Amino acid sequence: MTALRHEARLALAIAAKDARAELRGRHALVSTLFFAAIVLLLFGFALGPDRSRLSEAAPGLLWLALVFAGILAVSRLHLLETDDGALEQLALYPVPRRTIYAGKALAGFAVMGVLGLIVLGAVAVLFGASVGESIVPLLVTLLLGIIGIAAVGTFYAGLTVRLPSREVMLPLLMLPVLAPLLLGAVKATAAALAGDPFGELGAWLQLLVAFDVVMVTAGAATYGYLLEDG
Amino acid sequence: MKTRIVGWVAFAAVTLMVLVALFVVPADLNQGDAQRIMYPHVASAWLAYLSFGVTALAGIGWLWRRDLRFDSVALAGAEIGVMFTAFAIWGGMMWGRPVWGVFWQWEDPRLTTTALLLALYVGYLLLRRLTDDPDRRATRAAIVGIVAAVDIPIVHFSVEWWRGLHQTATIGSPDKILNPAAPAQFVLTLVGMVLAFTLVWTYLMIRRYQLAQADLANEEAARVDRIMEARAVEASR
Amino acid sequence: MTDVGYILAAYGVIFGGLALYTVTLWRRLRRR
Repeated sequence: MTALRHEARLALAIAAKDARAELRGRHALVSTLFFAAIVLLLFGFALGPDRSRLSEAAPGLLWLALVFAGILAVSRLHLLETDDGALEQLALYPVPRRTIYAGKALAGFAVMGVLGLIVLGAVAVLFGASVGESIVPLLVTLLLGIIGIAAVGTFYAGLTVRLPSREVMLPLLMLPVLAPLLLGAVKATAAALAGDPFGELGAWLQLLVAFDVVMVTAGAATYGYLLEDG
Repeated sequence: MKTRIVGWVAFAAVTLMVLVALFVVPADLNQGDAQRIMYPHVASAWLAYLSFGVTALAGIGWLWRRDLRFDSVALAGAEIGVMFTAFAIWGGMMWGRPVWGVFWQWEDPRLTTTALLLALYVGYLLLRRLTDDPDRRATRAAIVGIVAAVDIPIVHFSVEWWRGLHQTATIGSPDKILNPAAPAQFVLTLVGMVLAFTLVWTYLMIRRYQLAQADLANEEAARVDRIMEARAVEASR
Repeated sequence: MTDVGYILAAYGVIFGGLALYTVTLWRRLRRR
């Protein structure tokens, strides 16, 4: 078995472990789902009831809800580990650090993927976004955006999990870094929903891809330092 | 001491350039006197980015060599960088109100990127406060510094794209004096201001580095004291 | 506010801030 395939299997195993713990305890997924729902409701109260204003704001609200819920999701996924010292134990195995990172990020991605689909549906219903015709570019945007949130979130969750005031430090560190992702995802979503009248969808998706590549690389490269010293 | 000389030269240079920028160089035809704000604004922005580059590189230096002096450099860069970033934003706003009519314009890539820069590095400084162990603190800070540095170009490009799609023609563009075709007096004043600021930056970096090293030594001494105390308590039992 | 006000506000904060920071550094260094 080549080294790369071996690593990939390890990453999947780590992700699967988290996912199984998820299904059993359902910590991250359910609470984040409810959180996202409440956030959307509050957005409706804050910006509504004008239908047209809400549907204009829909892409922004979608991604804000996903980013905030994403913070919760990644922090809960890392919480699972420290409660019983599992993260430390994992660090003792001769597993390449980037594989652990990949595994945890995959788990985060999976949780957020489910979240993303549900929130997309909810936004379509609540804020009148016509999702049907543009479903493919929307799903691509969702995919790329969630990769970014999972990559950045997993990294910072790992960093802050052992810190005091971690509930505040995680969003404080994570959100500024996510700004370009937020911009790109919202613009891409808006363009997709409108049928891409200015042909800008491609440019925004490229931005998302670039962001994802850079952040996944940076996260994988530095996660090791996080585990050993952090 | 050499540093003291640097300090006084810097002070003289800055004083000179402030006088030039306020009273010698003529006002801009379109932007009027408000354009004078550009000189310290651009200089501050340049030093803000330089500082954070230094912080990121020093972080890499720590991860590579495990010499805490790198971390002291990183800390100096971040603190001084936050200061210059705040100056740059403030200058940008004070320039924006008379020239644009508003204090803030979302689509100006420099202003928005600099605001995000501020957020990133305030987070960096807050993170440092949460760890007592110097080695762990240095490692955590280094990683955050590197990721932040890597994020900044992406932010800049994304905001430029954002602006590009809106084609708003602004009467006053901060880019104007960065244009090499601008009148020589403006360019020279700007260059002079940047050089003066860089001298100030150099002086402050040296002093802040010295302070960081002194703080490290104090921390270490305090730690040794606590260990000795604990041992003394143990022995007396 | 005329332009002069904005210029004063800009220069005042920036150079005042630099002076303040420098003095703070001096004092902290003297104490070590």
